[in-house]
Amino acid sequence: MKTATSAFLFPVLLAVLPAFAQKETAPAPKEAAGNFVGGEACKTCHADVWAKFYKNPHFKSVASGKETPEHTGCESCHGPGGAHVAAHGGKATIVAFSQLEPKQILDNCLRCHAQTLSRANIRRSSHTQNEVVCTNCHSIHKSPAPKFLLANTQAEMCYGCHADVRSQFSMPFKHRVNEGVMVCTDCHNPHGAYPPTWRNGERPRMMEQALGNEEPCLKCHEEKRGPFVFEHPPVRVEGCEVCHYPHGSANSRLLRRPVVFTMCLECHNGAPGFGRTGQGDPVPFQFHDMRSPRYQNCTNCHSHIHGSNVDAFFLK
Amino acid sequence: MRTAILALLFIGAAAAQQTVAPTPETVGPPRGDNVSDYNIVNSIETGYRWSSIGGSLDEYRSQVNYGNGARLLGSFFSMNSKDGHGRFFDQIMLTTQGLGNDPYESATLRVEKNRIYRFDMNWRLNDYFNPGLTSAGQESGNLRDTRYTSQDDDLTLFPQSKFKFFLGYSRGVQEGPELTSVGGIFAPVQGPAGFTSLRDARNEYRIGNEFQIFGVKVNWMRGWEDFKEDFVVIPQSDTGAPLPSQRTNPYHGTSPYWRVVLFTDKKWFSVNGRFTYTNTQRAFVNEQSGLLGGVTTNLGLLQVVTRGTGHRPVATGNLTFSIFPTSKLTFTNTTSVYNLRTAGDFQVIQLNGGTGSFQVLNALYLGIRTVSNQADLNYQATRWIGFFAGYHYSDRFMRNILDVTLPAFDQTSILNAGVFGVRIRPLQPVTIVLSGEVGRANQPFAPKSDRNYQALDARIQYKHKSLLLSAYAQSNYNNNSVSFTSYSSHARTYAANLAWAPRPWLSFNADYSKLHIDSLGGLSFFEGGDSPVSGYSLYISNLQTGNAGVRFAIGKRVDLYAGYSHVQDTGDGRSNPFGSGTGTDIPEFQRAQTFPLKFQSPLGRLSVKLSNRIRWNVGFQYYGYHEDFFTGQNFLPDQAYRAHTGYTSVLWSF
Repeated sequence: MKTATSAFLFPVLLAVLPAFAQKETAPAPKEAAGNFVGGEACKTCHADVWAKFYKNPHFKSVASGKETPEHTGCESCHGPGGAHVAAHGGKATIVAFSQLEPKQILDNCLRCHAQTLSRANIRRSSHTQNEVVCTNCHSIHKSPAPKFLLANTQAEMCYGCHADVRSQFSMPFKHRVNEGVMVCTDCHNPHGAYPPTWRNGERPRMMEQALGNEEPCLKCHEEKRGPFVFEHPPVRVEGCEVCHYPHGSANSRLLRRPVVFTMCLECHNGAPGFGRTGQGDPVPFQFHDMRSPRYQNCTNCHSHIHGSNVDAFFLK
Repeated sequence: MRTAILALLFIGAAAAQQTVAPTPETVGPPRGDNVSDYNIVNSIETGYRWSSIGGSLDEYRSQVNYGNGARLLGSFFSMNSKDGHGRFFDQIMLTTQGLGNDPYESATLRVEKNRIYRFDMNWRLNDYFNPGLTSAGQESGNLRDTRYTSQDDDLTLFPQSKFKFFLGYSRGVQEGPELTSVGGIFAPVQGPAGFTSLRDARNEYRIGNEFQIFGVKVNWMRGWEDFKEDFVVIPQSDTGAPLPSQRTNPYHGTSPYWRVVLFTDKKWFSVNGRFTYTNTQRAFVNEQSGLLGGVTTNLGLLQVVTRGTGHRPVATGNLTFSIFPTSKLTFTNTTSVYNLRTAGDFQVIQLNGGTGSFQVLNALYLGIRTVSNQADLNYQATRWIGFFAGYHYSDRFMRNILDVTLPAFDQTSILNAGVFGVRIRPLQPVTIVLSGEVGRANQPFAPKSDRNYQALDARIQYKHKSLLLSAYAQSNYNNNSVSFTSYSSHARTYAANLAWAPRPWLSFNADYSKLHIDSLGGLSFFEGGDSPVSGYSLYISNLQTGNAGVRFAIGKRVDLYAGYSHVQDTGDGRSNPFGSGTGTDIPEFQRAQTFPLKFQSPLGRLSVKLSNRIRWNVGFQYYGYHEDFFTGQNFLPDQAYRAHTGYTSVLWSF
């Protein structure tokens, strides 16, 4: 209880902390620049960028004709171009993203894009903590992807850093990401997500949750949502990953073990302190002779292992 | 700069070849064709797939599943207004893949009129074949040959306005034949398998709105998700003959939900709060009837009806503050509350040989309430070094009621975890991130749950022009010990990745990963006697994966791609399945301690540019799967297969 109380003190501390805020030592590049000149001036030198800019989602700010100069076209991201034009170019006279620190890039993009639901947690996301910011994944002027100005196909871009995940999707059994049916963002929010409260702790991170902070698995595997008269509690308490590898596995049905009974018996060993009664997960009945192949594949009979409305042992 | 961008694009083309088709090369004018006030880009790839499979066709269908026949392998169409003032639309974009009976098909559509509307559609199909749980030579009566289709439609009105409306519809259907062991009348031990025509259907409707008030954005969504599953099982006897019995199980429900989000982002702080409420309800009837005489026991006619409702209200709340006292410092705190209750009533009516019995029971109650708070600090000390740290606290209360005559079982689990990390950039192109997490839980739910765990990560990346090098190492240790059993799991992952495009016509990609797992778990089981046997399981896996690819362009007309993918689990090093001298010593457990296998897939593709608007492509991909143990032993089936697949196609732009 004491720990819980202290946990709630954090919001109070948060309210006080700004009083100790330091004045920023260096002005943002945008503020250091001069007057706005409009996109027409830019295309004189950057004709290659301008030539297909009408396909860019940012072109909407130009087409609108109603936006203020700091929210229109090139200068909405690169800042006022007056000094840049006067100096006949140069990265020092304009906001050049190649010269910015990661946090500056993030702040620059979030000036407009922060007001979007999917980015509500971007400040605390693992990507931000690891200095993976907008331009690491998005190519604003040269995107080869049809949507979202991605710098590559979505899976390939993620694999670029997450080589271990690429390996998981190369397994014999996997979700069909490489085959093009699924994409990483079906399950993940690369901009940061709310904590996965279907289980304790922070992991797994950056999950795109289903309806009520549920695991994203239930978006497709709806038949396992329940409620069931007889729930298999680990599904609700620990999540699907307690038995399955979500990306890919060398084992059928993405299981964590090649042989089913070993996986089940690791929990169903009667060890006190565990399970919904705290008295241990039940040990299989006596007739389950583990030397017999019949009993080694538990889900052969316990086929409704995720939950059942009829049978407490998930037989039907 | 242009060379670097081109090189990066070619890296993507090289790395993308996990499956040989569709062809990633483009055709037609790169900037498209101008028609009136619009610009059009399009391409279509049509061709023929073929496959030749030896060995286990079931296993091939479960893992790969590409077949023979003509296909619309892929297509792309985009139409953009050049001034952003199209009459009815400013953008239409359509992409498709695999249409015409590929096992994996998809189509996406976007239609947009600036400031007025945006419509997105995403349709997918996954042809899913599962021959039962076949790993390690096990067979089961749960076979499935289904097709899962899903579609999401989203319409946003006034997408650039501060006052938006959202309308959405999603649908998912899984249907197909299934052989299931859901059991006959007396299912528990020897319930016969039965055939059924599976049909799960999900429909979700949603409506929402977003507006801004006093500088705070408010986004709300109201949705309804309906689900139904209807099937009739007709059990089979061991000889395959239908039994005079059946099982019917309609299962319908709805999940209406609310979601409200408030958020704002200012110069020195951002705040967002989210509230969701979902009240899932399910209604079901399960009816079984059959003539049991001569099947198991001489009970005559038996009819069992189980009916009832279940409901699960879930309320969640999240509140996140982020403050930025300086340009170098970000402090974030998020508090989450999760409250779930599962309850309901059901009735069991049993008519046995004309003598009826009737019973009303309560569904098992499961309530979970989790409160968590997470505080994270992110500080960029200098241009080349930064730190982050966090403290995470979770308090989960769980109440279980197994029977109204029994007291409730309550338990509280508290998890304290700390995270820390450092980012180093000694040189401009080099990034190093070291991080870790240590956690302690006082009441883990299951022996496999996290209790005393630590996770350490190290990542290094070098990125310069057209060269990308990265390496990654991670270890996850978890110990969960109680009085007479223990569970410990060690997982270590090592991965490296190389992508290099030295020339616009030449690019390489390679990656390697090793995943080591060893898990020790206490076991209790029966070995034919009256008393359970205590032992332990020691599972060891050493899974190594490698992918490599090279793309080579000859002149401006020919593109060649060659790639190779290899997965191998070397197990614990033993050469036969009969015992390693560790773990519980009965042979069945010994064989389950490790499972070496090999899966490989080389591929090659040739794409020839016949004209500016036409390409001819041909490709080949081999799949080979082999399990070292259990193959052909102890009457278990050989699940290995070898598959030669390929395609030829024409990619053209009109």
